[in-house]
Amino acid sequence: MRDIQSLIPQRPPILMVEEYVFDDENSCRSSLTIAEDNLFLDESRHMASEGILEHIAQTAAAHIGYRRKLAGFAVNYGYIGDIKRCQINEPMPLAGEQLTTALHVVSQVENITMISAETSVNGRVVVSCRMKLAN
Amino acid sequence: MIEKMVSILASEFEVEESVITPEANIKETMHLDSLSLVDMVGMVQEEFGVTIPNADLPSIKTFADLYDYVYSRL
Repeated sequence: MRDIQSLIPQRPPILMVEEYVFDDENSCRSSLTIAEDNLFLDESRHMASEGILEHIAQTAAAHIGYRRKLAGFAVNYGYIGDIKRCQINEPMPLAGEQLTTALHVVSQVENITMISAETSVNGRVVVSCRMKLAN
Repeated sequence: MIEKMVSILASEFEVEESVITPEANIKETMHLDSLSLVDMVGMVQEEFGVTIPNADLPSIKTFADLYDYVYSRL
């Protein structure tokens, strides 16, 4: 789905998800082609790891929002609780390359959701982590 | 199963294994808040393949409750 803005509050230039694909209740995929003017690029046009973590967080928020929509609830806003088991594998992707993320819901207790995610570029995992989000 | 769970919980929540006794209260022993409770539920799901729905959580107060819950669903 490309109407990502109906699922998360972020707007350009901080919007970090281009396409969101719901696989099932506990998994989804997303992608983002890194624009030349992306806020998270350094002077050598490499994406900062923080930008990829933001991409993962927005993917998770979109998934939580989509699940709420399916359940007949309004989409609400959330925040990152914590990040664990984070692995960053350099080199970081360049402007023009596409991030693809596979996300899985590990567990959920009330309004806290823990996810695991892997973000790849051309089949190479560049960032993986666990993240907790509250909404 | 109990030894494995005690070992994982002690490591994950940074407490001594000796404090994880059957009658001990889970939240108090591991200093769980709403943000970290999801870690325990995730651990049980990943390590033992047992999902704990929100509705069942209030009945799991002690480690013995947790062992019984998981064991009955293995």
